[in-house]
Amino acid sequence: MRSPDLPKQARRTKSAQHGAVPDRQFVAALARGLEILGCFSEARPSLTVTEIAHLLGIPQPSVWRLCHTLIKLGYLTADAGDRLRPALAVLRLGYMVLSDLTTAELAKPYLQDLADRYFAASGIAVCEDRGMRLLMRCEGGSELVLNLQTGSRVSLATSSLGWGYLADLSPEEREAALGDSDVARRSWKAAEPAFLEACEGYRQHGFIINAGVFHPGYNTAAVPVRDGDGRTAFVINCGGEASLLPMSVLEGEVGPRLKDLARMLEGVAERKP
Amino acid sequence: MTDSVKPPRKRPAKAGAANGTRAARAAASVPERRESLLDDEAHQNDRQFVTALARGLEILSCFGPRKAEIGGTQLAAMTGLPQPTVWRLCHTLSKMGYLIPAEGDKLRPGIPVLKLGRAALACVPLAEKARARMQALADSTGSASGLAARDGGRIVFVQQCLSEAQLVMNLRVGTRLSLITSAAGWGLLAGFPEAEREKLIATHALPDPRWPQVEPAFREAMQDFAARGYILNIGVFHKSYNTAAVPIYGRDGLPAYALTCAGSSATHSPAFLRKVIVPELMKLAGELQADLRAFEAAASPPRRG
Repeated sequence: MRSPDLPKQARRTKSAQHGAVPDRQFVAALARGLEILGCFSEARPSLTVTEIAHLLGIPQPSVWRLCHTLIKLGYLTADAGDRLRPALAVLRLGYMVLSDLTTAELAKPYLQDLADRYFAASGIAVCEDRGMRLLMRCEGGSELVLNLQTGSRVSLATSSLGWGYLADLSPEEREAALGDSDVARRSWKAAEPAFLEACEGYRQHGFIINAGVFHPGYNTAAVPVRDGDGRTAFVINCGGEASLLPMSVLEGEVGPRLKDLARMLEGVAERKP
Repeated sequence: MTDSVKPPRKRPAKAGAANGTRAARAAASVPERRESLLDDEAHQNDRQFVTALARGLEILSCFGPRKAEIGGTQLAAMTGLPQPTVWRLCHTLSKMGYLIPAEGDKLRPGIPVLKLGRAALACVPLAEKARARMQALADSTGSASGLAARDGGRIVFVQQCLSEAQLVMNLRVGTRLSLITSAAGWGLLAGFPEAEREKLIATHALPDPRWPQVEPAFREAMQDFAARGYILNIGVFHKSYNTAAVPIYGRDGLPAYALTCAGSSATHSPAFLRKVIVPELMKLAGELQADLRAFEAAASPPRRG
């Protein structure tokens, strides 16, 4: 279904994307305009054209024309001091499709895409009662996935989700999070060396890999999602059976994509738990 | 996260039949013309105007709570843009993460649109400042309380607080309503000096086919406002929904926001609105006006000399 629909130009672009040839279907003016709107945030509610040009590394005359357009369309307003602010018309740009969703619901299409793409299973979880509870679980086409569902709980000490949660904690905070029940202590004693090794990788790459510790032959990458205060609020993960999801793909593609998703969720995660 | 977007199909699978039903469906479910910023002739002579940007944003603005997922062909129909143009714009929006793939070759907005909206709302500090008190008003009277600002011929809610267990309108932060039929719109219009109000009516009301029907109730509400300082919208916005509204003025002396309090006509009779709701509403509006002045003064101190 996919290829017959592609016009000739699009097909050329698709192959061009893999080479050095620029994407000729990419509308740079639109992209830059969106980048300008994206410069504004709660921390940066107003900017001048000069400041925007500096932030984006785009020539000032281009920024001026784009801002002029955004003002005429009502998406930006200018005050007497030439400071620009986003206007309420920005709320027309799809905002209400997402504004009522929980963080897990926001993450869902991205997690499902990962699961589908890599014949894997993905999820988003919170730490609760010394364990990780899955707020959302998405499965791809593979039949061989762990028997977990939305709402399932997994171990803090041995699961990738648990590791993702522990990864940013100090050793003292980790001990406190794990608690002192005998069961937790025993499983942590067994898992800790592998966790500490995985943490090395986390420091380097920004995602933590649980290779067969939670379940033999099952490898998973996880990334913590921080709230506005910098604390881990959620953990997202994606994993699969080793023959379907080789370590090279997990490290080379899945981990970086999870990291991108975590960064994207971070700006919006703190509002709705 | 996606690498490419599927281009819209050049023609529908069953051209004749599909067109017929689509047209019928469009006629039935889209009584109101889509707001479009594209067909403004003023832009055509503006050599500094970046059309590609305007068109791309027009595509994003097609998505809303009732239209969360849209296919390329439908986007072309909604915007009136040629399909190859729509395809290129969607490709760009997808690469930027503003659109993501959805079921059945459709597209839906991605997380970055949420960040844009939050940044815009952050420029309205009054909305957050007012929340707790609006919620208290809603809770104590079993109402819905809204704070809205004007965007052209529309009002946009920047805050909306609902009480539990009541029959409520589906109004949320970001909801856009007509300036001339909604209570918030009336609350704003009421606060303008008459000449400016008539100018706004000439621009936004006269072209609207609903206006002749609405006008008598609107005029009555404006008289009510002159005498009492608030307006009631009794069943005009929706036949079984009653609202009280008051303007909140900016430093320029013009109404910047309207504060509303509303409920179903079964619980919120005009008498209940006047006796119970309005005193609370006007008190809160006075407080919010003081808050607004403080924000305005902090944002740009008055110039000396």
